[in-house]
Amino acid sequence: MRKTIILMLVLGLVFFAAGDVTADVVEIDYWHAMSGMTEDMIEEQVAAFNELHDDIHVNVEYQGSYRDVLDTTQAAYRGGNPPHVIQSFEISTRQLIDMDIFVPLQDTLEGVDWDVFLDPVTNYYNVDGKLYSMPYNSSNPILYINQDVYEEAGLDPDSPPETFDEMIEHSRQIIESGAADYGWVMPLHSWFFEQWMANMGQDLANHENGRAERPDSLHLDSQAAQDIFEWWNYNYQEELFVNPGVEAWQESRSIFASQSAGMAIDSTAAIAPKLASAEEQGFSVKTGYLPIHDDYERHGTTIGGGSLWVIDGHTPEEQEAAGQLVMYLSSAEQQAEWHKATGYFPVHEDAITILEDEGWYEENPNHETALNQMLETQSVTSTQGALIGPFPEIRTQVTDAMQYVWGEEKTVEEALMDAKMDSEGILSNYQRIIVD
Amino acid sequence: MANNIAKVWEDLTSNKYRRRKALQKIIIHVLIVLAVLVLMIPLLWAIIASTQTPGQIYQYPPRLLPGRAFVRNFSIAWSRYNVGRGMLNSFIIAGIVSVVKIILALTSAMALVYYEFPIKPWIFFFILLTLLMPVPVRIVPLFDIVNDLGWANSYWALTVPFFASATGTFLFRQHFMSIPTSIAEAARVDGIGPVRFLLQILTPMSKNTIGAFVVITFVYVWNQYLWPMLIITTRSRQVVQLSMQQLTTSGPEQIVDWGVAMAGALTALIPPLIIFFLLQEQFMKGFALSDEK
Amino acid sequence: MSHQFKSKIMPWLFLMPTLIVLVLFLYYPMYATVETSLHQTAFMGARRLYVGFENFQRLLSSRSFWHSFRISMFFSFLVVGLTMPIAFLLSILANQKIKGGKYFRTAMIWPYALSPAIAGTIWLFIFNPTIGILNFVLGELFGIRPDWVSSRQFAFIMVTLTAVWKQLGYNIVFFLAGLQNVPGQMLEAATIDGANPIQKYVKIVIPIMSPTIFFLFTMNLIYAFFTTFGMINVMTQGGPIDATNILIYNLYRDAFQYDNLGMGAAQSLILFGIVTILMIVQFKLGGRRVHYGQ
Repeated sequence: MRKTIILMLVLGLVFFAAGDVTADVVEIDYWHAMSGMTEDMIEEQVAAFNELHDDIHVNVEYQGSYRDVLDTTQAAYRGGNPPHVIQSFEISTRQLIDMDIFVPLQDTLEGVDWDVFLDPVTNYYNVDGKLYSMPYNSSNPILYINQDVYEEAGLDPDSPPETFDEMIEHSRQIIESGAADYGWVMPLHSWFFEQWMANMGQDLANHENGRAERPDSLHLDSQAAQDIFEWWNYNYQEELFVNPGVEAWQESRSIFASQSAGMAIDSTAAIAPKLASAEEQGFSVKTGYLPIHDDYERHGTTIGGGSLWVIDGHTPEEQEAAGQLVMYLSSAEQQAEWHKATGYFPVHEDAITILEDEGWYEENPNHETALNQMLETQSVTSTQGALIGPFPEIRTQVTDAMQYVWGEEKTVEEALMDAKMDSEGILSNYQRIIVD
Repeated sequence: MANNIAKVWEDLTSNKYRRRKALQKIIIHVLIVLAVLVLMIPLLWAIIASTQTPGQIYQYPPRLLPGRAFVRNFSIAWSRYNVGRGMLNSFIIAGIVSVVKIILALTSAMALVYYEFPIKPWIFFFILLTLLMPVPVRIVPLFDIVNDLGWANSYWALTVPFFASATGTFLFRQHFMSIPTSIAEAARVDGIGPVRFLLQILTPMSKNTIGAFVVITFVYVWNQYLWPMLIITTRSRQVVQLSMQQLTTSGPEQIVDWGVAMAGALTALIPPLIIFFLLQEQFMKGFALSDEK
Repeated sequence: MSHQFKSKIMPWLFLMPTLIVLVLFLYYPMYATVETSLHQTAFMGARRLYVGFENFQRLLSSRSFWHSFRISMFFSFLVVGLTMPIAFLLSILANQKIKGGKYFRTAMIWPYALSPAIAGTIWLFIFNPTIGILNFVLGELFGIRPDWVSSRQFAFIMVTLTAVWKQLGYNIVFFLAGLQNVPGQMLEAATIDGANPIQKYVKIVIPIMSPTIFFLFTMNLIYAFFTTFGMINVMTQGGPIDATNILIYNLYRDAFQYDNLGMGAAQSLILFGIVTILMIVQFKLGGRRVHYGQ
């Protein structure tokens, strides 16, 4: 017994002491939110980077969802051991700048040509005239259709639905023909709502989508917001749409892969895993633009995905190494590879040239959909994307509102009005502690 | 078996009293089997699923037979979802907390039972009052304090705040009070000092209480979730429980790989189960809650 | 000669480590909670703004907090109310002298070692609306396939059933220990006197086991209030729309996800108040000989 105790204590001490690593090599930590095949790709990229730099070692770590990365980074900063580089989602941009713990990259990183990034990307991340973070993984939502289900339902897979009405028609035909149980699937995620708002030319936040000054209200009572909610609710009530759960990306992909639904709306970033699981289940996939409401003009999508942030307060050597890493990951060559492996579109102009020269898009037309959708986007405030400090909390308001409507506890108008009121409270609270 | 059935059958067909007895026995058996099934089926189903490939899991109707992906699923859970490293972390912290907590419980109970000092009732009350402060109630300041101590993301954070508890002191105090005072008197006559008394007389006499306490503490620490979730920020130091959420929300092909999830869940269940069954007897004896004690 | 040792210093030396840990990690945090609850914070406490009692005012006037409070109470009521009678009946069964009784007992108490997060993982798979075995069985037998994920009612039922199932083993362990302390002759005497089994248990066994019952009552309440956090985090994250958002989950969300530690601290104090009241009630009701696991 006593021996066991001593052994345990010694073991414990060894582990307490562990963590100090050999000198000379600069160790930096890089946290990201990519799972599955995309995680594998990140690990490959980082391994290649480590290979190139004898004096740097990057420890790469999957931290869970984007929300998890944000929460964990804040906790780690509070605990005095933050990572060096994080990948954070686009909607955290305002909040991360407000935290004041990140290096504004456009001011400090030397040797970067900031003009090489695609306009929509720069437009999104530009705050007060500069980019604080390095564009990295950008995406937008597209439509995926199961070609086999389409053919079985007597639909033409080459003309996917472009509008809300067509979505309903196609879904009906899929279900009535017995080709699949549901028309379409998509996670219950505020991101899609935001994308529809942008696409239909409606700002989400006031003060020019939060770009002119900090917003104090959201346009959740707008006609566009109501039209989106009405349509989505109709699809839910008529069981044309199947709800996989709040932010349930994986469950949504599982449903599409198991052919329970003929169509899916998902991020372009899901293209590689979607194609892989479709192949495993023996069906083919086609892609199309995000369908929008029939009564609105198409403005294009806003930038989704994430960017890379470098945390201040580390040693100059570590800071330098972190800069090297983010530059490497956003370089043309890496962006081209990244795009092929994941479906995130390349943020670097030259990456597109590389891919075109290789003939990649001719062989992989599905990969081109999101890229074209982005390139055709009009430059207006709605597609520039909203800049909101407490955005993660606002997202919960939106998904809650939708669920109240689905549960028939509130009408669309009531739910959106309540969400608007609650959001104003959230915004003003945030404002108070940040600005004062 | 056949004999048993024959006997029951004979009972059933014979006189009224024996018939009632036999019927009772059958009913009890049926009920027990049902109860066991309710408690065991989820586990058995998890075991079956842990051997299936994603293709088999997404099959309709569900496949009830085991597949051959056992090794694949366990190795993915083990390495990709941090179950392997998490098990080691959990084991170390549960081990350390168990050992130190017992020592502190023994010494504090020793002071309360075998010494007389002013304000003793107050001290006991002071210790007992902490029953009202489970971790979740003080989670926010605990987070602050541990961060201020620079212990964030370390084993210190997962162990030291749990070294003392009212439960331990109370449990051992009750036990010491049930030991006949003549033993302590004899020890004093023989000139045995307090430390030797504690180590050589009290501790061996507390085997059951120690066993019971190890089970409670080990299972409690092993199963902790909220605190490590907040204070541990790197995966390599995270405990195994926190692998569960990732297991159910991500898969290699971005569809949930339930086979891997079940494999991970089952693996993380094994250590506390072993501790529990190894110490089951001491646990039952040491944690007696009767009036007679 | 007394059985006690004499020393002025030794008892304090023996007590010191315990007292230090309790003061530093239990008493001081309770004080700090009060302090933090009077602030609004951001970035995990990096920014603090004194707001007086505003956090409490906001909580007490917030629909979602009261919703969480009601959900929490209802959930605890169901978990305690279902777990204890079922576990008691199962323990009586397991306590029968029958062949293989030892194995049956083992098969019933193993979930003691099970964590809420693991139970949540296993049941989430079973409850999966599209591929879960439960909906397959329900669909084949009754033609229904409840949506355990997006329906508020079903999600609540799912979490409650999982919480009860997980806690049965714990209760059975202590009930069995308690039953073994009921003198066998008393039960036999009752049988011979012609008392039927139900009377026998109500009149004889339950009073003898009242310490166990009080102990379990408290432990189950603490379990339902706090320990189920991991289960909820794995299964529903408090959703759909707060349907399973019990108080501790709401606290976590406000403090750490929505990044206002002050709001979390205020909720801590309210929880502390609830726990204190429950403990006082249970002590008053006579569970004095009872002790608690963490």
